Amino acid sequence: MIKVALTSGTASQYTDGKTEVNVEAKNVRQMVAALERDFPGLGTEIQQSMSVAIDGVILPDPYLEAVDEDSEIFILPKIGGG
Amino acid sequence: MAKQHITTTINGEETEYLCEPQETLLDVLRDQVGLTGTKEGCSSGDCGACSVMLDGRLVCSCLVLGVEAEGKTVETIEGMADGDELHPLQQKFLEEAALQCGFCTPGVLIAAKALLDINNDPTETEVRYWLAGNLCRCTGYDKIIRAVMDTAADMRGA
Amino acid sequence: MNEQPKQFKWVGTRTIRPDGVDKVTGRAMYGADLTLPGMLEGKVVRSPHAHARIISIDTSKAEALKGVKAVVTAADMPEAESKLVAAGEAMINFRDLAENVIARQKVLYAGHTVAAVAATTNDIAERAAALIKVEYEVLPHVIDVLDAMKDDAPVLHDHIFTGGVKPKPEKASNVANRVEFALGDVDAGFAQADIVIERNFTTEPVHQGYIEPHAVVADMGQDGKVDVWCSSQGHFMVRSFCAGLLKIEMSKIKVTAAEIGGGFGGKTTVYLEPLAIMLSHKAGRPVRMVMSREEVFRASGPTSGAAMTIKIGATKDGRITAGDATLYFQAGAFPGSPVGPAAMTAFAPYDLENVRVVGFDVVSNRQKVVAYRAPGAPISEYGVESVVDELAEKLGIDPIEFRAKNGAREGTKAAYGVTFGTIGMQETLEAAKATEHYKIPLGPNQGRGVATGFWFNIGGESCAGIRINEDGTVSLTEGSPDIGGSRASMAIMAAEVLGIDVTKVKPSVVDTDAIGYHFVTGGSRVTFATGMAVVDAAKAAVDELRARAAKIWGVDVDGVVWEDGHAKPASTNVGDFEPMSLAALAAVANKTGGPISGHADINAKGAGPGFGTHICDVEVDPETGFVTVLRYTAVQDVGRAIHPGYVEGQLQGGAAQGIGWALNEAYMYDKDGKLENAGFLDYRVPVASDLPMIDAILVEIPNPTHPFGVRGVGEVPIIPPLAAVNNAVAAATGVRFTALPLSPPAILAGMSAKD
Repeated sequence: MIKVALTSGTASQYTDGKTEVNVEAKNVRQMVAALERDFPGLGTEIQQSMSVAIDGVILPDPYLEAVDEDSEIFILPKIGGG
Repeated sequence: MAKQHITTTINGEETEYLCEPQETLLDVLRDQVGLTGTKEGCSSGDCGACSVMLDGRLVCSCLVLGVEAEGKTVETIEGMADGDELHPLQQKFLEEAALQCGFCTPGVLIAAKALLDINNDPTETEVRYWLAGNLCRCTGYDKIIRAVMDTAADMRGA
Repeated sequence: MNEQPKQFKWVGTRTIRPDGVDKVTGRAMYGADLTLPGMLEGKVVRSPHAHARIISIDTSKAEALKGVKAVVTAADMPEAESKLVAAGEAMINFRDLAENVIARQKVLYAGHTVAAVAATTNDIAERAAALIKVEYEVLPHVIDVLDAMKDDAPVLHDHIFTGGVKPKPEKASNVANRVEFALGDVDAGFAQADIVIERNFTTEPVHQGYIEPHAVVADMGQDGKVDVWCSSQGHFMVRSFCAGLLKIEMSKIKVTAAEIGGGFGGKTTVYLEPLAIMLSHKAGRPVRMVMSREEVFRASGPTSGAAMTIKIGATKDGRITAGDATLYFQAGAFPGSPVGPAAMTAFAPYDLENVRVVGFDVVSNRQKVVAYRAPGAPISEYGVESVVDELAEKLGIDPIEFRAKNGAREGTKAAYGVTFGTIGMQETLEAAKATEHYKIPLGPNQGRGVATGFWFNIGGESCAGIRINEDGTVSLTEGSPDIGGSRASMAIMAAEVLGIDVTKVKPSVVDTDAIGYHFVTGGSRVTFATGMAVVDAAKAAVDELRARAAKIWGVDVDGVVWEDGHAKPASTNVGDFEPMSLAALAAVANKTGGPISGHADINAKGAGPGFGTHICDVEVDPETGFVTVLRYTAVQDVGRAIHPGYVEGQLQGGAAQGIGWALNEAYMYDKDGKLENAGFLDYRVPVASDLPMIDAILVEIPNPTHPFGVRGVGEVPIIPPLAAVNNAVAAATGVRFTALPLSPPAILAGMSAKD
């Protein structure tokens, strides 16, 4: 099981306010699919408009990155810049 | 109204063009004469990107009509270097990274040269007030001011 | 100034930029500088109303005018679907983008495009634009963000239902979205505090203020192929947006990036480009469109104005126990303000256990905001840094020490949820404290202010090609429009890897047909991400050079190393071969397998977070309220400065923009919702005589993920000035101001209220 942290805003919409959820996944693609299954809409939201930070590195287009139970995974809005 | 036939001297070369009476010198330079180094930033005399010398006087070419150049001399950024030799200001701006996007640079250089032509030892305050009509949004002016003062120092030493 | 690291030959040196001579002699071609045979000039018809329904558009008189070759309205454009795309700072909806380019049913701000016309001259195009008759039904409008949130406010879009709340609202509103970030328990945190300060702040929208107005030349052939030349922060973005908006295949659109006269985020979207393509399509001739300065102010940019509440608690010994912020951001006419990044960055410089930030993205009848340098961060951090400063003052702690005590360091879990790796927050504070500036005594009516700033910096898609020419020179291609000297950095990094003289490397920013996709020049990403691609491409070229030497020597490639621009045997075991220079290998390339090159196409990850600390000294004239900036120092962790001159320039330029934001700049509207100061005379950006020298101090804590340690640099410097100026003014006047800009009348009013 991997631990996925969400912002409180995202949590209030998709996970009944739980800011940390556990899913079974070996990479981000599987994680997103598992989150969509357990919390309908969340996976889609992540794909459309969120970034995933793994161990402090923000990834705007994560897909194949490996994750395990020791990974710090955080879902946050996409960031661009001027 | 019929176009006016104008004869003038641009960067030392006699030049003729036809222009509408309401056309600005800036538009004439850019569109008729093909000297696009002079930039348009505001067309209201507020930004200085279109600075040129007209009969030895620093002007915003957006505030001068093309017909007003009749019989006069115009100096633009394209005439600043002497053949393949850059003017000391141009060289110093490169050495000291005194430009970023480069869009205000032609106007700044023309204005700075006009200052150094009349004052070869300006104070920082004099440079800042002289260039207050040339907006730069990239550099915060620091390196521009230093480059102008360093050029003046070099030219005095030379 | 930093000690030049000894291990590098070119990195950290102040080379002459490769595009420099073009830019000091007028040769460089910017957006409006291209003329094509048969080219027409295009003009835009804009709404005079802040909010109105379009009843009809009659273009017949304009079309009948001699010299007019094409007129375009929304009816000529394909209907856009509702789809989210990345645009500079945030995700935007494609349908909104389409409607911002040209209004369909309603105009949503004064300046909104309703039609465009192309004619043989500018003069005819202007007269034709004036002949286009648009009938409007004027609707009530709303400008202010808090007014727009009221129940009785005119609603701009009947399809906007506040996102981010549950259950989904049943009534359409101007509140497009709510975001929330929370860590720990803020109520418990405030309960532990000995002192709690809560303040309401406002900031006004400010424009990026690039000196070059938006400009484009588009040429669409009868075969459907399109050439676009434009001033943009991303020609790949222009291709993708135009392809999507006009339903043209991407391979048919070639976009060339003109030299760009400033952008600061404001050129990360399209305005004129799709219109110019459509006009060219209709006319069968090239069309140039250039915005006037007034149009730039009325119809492009700016960034959000905002209202916010910031509340921070601390213990007597100076430890922050909780931070709470509520942010209301103007998005302009369509959703997509930078409230998300503003919320994430608000408390990011600090190591806090209890944080809550709630943000609202609110539409109103203003031009759609677009990215501006660290979008959102200057606004929220202005509020936080002003309160932090007040706390330090009330607790009697030096403001730099107070920040250091609470500041983030490696391993700190940032308030936005991510654990920081190697960062330089503490080092910038130490460097600021060590400056001479910080010790200079102040006179009467003078004050000193300090503030910090944080920005994420980003990576993203970049590509590079290194071609070794027959004579041993190098052609370097990449696709990030060079907005502030990035070609110089690219040449330096390539020369460093290849081991050749930097003047042998010629970098070019090539068109969309010539290289792979690049994300925009934005997010402080170019020297990091495109630089990473350049390094990878140069390394690939080095591998090929080694392989050629191995072939010539008849040894295994592992037996060949690349040192100082030469292939050398890795050890005496490999054999006794004379080193071969890059030029020597290039000269025989045709005999050893053909031309030598290296390429990289990457999506760069691991951009290093950036921190800066600024010190500002001001003098406030008690008679007039006028603020003079006496001294200014900008300290920043830049990772590693590839070209220190242009890195310092980023710090100085960002500081100047931030000072303008703090003191002078603001969008002002009349009662009809029309912008009153759409020109540089009335919208006053800092001029040379407004500013002192700006000391730039580069702290170098290398980013471990970049081969040379680069961090993004360009955005952080605009963040601290707002609060640094505000705190300096507070120190000078004894009044804590909570609204920007700090104009003389506002300061006089604040000072007289105190007396």
